[in-house]
Amino acid sequence: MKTKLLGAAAALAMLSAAADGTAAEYPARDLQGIIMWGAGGATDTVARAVTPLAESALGKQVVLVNKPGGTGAISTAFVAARPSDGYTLLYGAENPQLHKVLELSQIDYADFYPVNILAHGVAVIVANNDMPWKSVKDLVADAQKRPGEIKMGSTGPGGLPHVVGALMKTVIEFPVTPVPFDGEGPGITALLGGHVDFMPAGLSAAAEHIKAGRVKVLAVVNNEEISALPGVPPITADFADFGKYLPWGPFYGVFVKRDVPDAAKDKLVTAFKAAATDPKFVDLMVGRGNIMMNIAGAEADEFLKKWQSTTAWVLHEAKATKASPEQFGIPKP
Amino acid sequence: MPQPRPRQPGERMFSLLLLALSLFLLYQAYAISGFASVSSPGVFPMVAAAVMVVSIAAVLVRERREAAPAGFMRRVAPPVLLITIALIVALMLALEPTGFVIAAGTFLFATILFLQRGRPVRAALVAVVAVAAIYVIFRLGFQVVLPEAEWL
Amino acid sequence: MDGSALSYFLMAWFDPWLLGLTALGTFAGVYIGAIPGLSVTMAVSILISFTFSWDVNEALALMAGVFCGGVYGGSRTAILLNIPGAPSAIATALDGFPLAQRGEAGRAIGVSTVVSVIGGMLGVLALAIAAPAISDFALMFAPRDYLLLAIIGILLVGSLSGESLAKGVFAGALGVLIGMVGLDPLTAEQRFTFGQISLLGGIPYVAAMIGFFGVAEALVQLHHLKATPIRQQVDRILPSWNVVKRYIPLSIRSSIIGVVIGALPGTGGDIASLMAYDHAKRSVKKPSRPFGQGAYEGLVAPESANNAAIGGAYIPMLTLGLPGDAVTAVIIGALFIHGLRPGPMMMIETPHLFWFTVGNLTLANLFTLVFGLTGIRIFAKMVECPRTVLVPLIVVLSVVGTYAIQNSVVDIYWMLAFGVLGYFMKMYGYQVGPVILGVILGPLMDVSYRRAMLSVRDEPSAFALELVSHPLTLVLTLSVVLLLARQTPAWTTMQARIGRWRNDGRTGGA
Repeated sequence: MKTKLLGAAAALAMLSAAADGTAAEYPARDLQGIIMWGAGGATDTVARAVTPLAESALGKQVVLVNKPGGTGAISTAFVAARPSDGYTLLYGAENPQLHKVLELSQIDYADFYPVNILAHGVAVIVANNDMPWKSVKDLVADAQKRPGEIKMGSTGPGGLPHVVGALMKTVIEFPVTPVPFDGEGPGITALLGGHVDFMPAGLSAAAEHIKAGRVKVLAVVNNEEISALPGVPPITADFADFGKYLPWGPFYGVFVKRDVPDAAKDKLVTAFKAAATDPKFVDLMVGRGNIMMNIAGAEADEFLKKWQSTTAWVLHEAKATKASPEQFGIPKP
Repeated sequence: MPQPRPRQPGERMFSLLLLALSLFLLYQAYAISGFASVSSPGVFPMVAAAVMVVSIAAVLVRERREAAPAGFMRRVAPPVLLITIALIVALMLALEPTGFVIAAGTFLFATILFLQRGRPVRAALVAVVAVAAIYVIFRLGFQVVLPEAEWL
Repeated sequence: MDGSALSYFLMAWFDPWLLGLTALGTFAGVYIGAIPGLSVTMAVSILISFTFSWDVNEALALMAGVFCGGVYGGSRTAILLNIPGAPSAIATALDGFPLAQRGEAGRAIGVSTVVSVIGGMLGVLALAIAAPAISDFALMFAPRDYLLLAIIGILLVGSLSGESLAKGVFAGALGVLIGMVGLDPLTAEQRFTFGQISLLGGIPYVAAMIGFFGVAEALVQLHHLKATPIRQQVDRILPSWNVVKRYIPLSIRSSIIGVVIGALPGTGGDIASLMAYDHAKRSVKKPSRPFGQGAYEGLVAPESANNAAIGGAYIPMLTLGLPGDAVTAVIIGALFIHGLRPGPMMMIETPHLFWFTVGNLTLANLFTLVFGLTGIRIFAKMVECPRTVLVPLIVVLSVVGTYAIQNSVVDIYWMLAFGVLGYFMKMYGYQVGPVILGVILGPLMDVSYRRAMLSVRDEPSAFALELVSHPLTLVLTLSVVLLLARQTPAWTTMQARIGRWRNDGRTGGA
């Protein structure tokens, strides 16, 4: 049975190799793009913005499908099960890098080739306007004075607010009560209504509310000030110990399976590189408070590994993981 | 008010099956997080499963004396139902290997032919028109990638 | 409205291209809405890529049309086939389908079109005159308030149960459990996944809806293969003014429910229409027929509410950049892509957008009226075709519709399993309505309850105190208590006594 299957697989592989014999012609038909988050989310928006630009370089359509669920585990499993022909793209965010330690899936970006890591976001700490704090230092002092009484807007494990919250608890004594929401948007909604007191959030989700003065920003979770928020101190100004974990932020990228033929990979890398330098896309991403990266291949792999090592270990030390990163050979930062 | 529903054969068996299902789900809900805290992820599933157990038990108690008529296969699960369900299962299994167009086309033709006992021309016509319409609307209009056979 | 606002409002009215796009969107929306599995959310997502290189006004005009038409269109298949074309049309099926079985499908569609437009217009009106106030009000809802709202909604089980309350409660709890399957959004704990990756994302509730309504109904129809199809009267579609007039008060009340539920981030037209149906059932003393057997009131309430919820959903989107429902979340994404910055500053930075959208939605509602009242004949003919053909067609459409949600064959297996289960439930006197109610409201209750508990650090006494110490929460708590009390036997006896006592007083007897 097994040999038969193998034989069939080999025959199929030869068939597809024959079909790919004219590799220069890739893509010969429309591609399918799997978005790991639902319609209207940040990943969805980024995917739908970059795709039309890449399509013109590819000369074929990329049919986009949202397959949300399991913080992306459904999509990674789906794409991993598709043929390695380069016709199925994965549009993803940072989440799969934590799937192993959260015991959600055995698949992470080690199984995929980064066609392009488009950009990464920056986190900020925002607070409800009625709160007395002027800096993160005030917030931390207040939290230590009334342990557990301050409510922090958060998300499920692995979400940006959750990770930054865990980061803070690793660096300083920070007894607050996290209230998890379905995402940053719903968390900020609760912050505006005063149902939570402060929240670590992505700048992209918080920027407009900061600008309108609906929430106040206490710090940028970064090593230095950023141009999008002049005058807002980096968190390292109050707590230098954060430095070793930074810069840190969520990211967005396009991936294919590792074993896709090189010819197809090259074609995709070129197409998305061009798309990610298009001024329209850059304006959109920077306008949302992201920092452009536009990296691929080995450089992107390096970035992915570093991100995974930092984040997985921080979560592990905050006791927010189910399995030790060590188990999967994720090195300590 | 509508007429009281005539009692159907097999009702008690169905209630017992639902009770078994409810108990199984209650156990599964308990296994999620036990009684760890009042806000643990297992609390709500446990409450819901417990409600299922209690309500189906109430149904069983109320109906314990009522004798149901015989003839389950005739009145509740007649051959036409079983064969139709079998055809639907066949459609689902065929969907990925043969692709939507062939699977749905064959299903429509076979099922209509079976249900109306004959008139193959009408059955074929409906099958072709319906599959074509669905293909145009979903695949071309809405970019829903319908299952397609890899080898076609 | 000052001069510039008026000119923005009328922008889409006098530009033939924008006018055409709105019309096209509405027309397409009606059919997208009518086909189960094709959702407005999906259509608008596709439009984002499609309209990438267009001007933002053109994209918005098309999207507003699709949104209005789509929410309306869900009622078509709900009435004709008992398969809600969209989740917001579930309540519509409860009385709409019995009407079609009486041969009144034409009239039912006519009435639902008119009240949809009334609801839609009231929603737009609320958006135009009270958006900032309503969005501030919506922000006041804390997790505990969402919990109470969901409880009010789930109490509808009582009136959807049919012959036996116990069976209704069972069905509702089953629905809640179906809604729990997958990864818990708060802790990423797996619930009822049995180690299957395909279950991590849960069971899409549209798959449950299509299974329990569509396939189960198709299987039941197998018992009536030889029955002659009901002839539908389609000569009098447009309801007379007298008929409409009678429903206007209910339509207005339902629209208010729709606007508020629509404006709340986290709830949309599906919950709005169920709550409006519940409201109708409680407030209308003498419906045209008993509810569930073809009461026009049971059609008026949900159809007004779900269309009013559109205007409601736009309120937090335009004033704060927060989505009021799934569709507006996608539209916000579209605005980003077109270089706008949805958020509290949008009204200041791009003031034309607000009045342009108001004008557009008004226009889309007018087109809904036009397209809603045409093409009914063909739709109604659909149910007149013999069941031997109709049943297989429903099955194929259910399969495609379920597959279309997220291109997953596993979802189809669930749909069929629910279809078969639903068939037996129907045979043994269980209603399937409560199941869907549970699927929709269960997850909202679960996360809201736990969020509320976590906010008070898992202290039940502090939680109980919160339920009575905030004005808004107190009102909701009292509503729940009152609704519960009204379902107990004690209340019924008391009412009967009061009634007797009053009658005695009036007749002068002792």
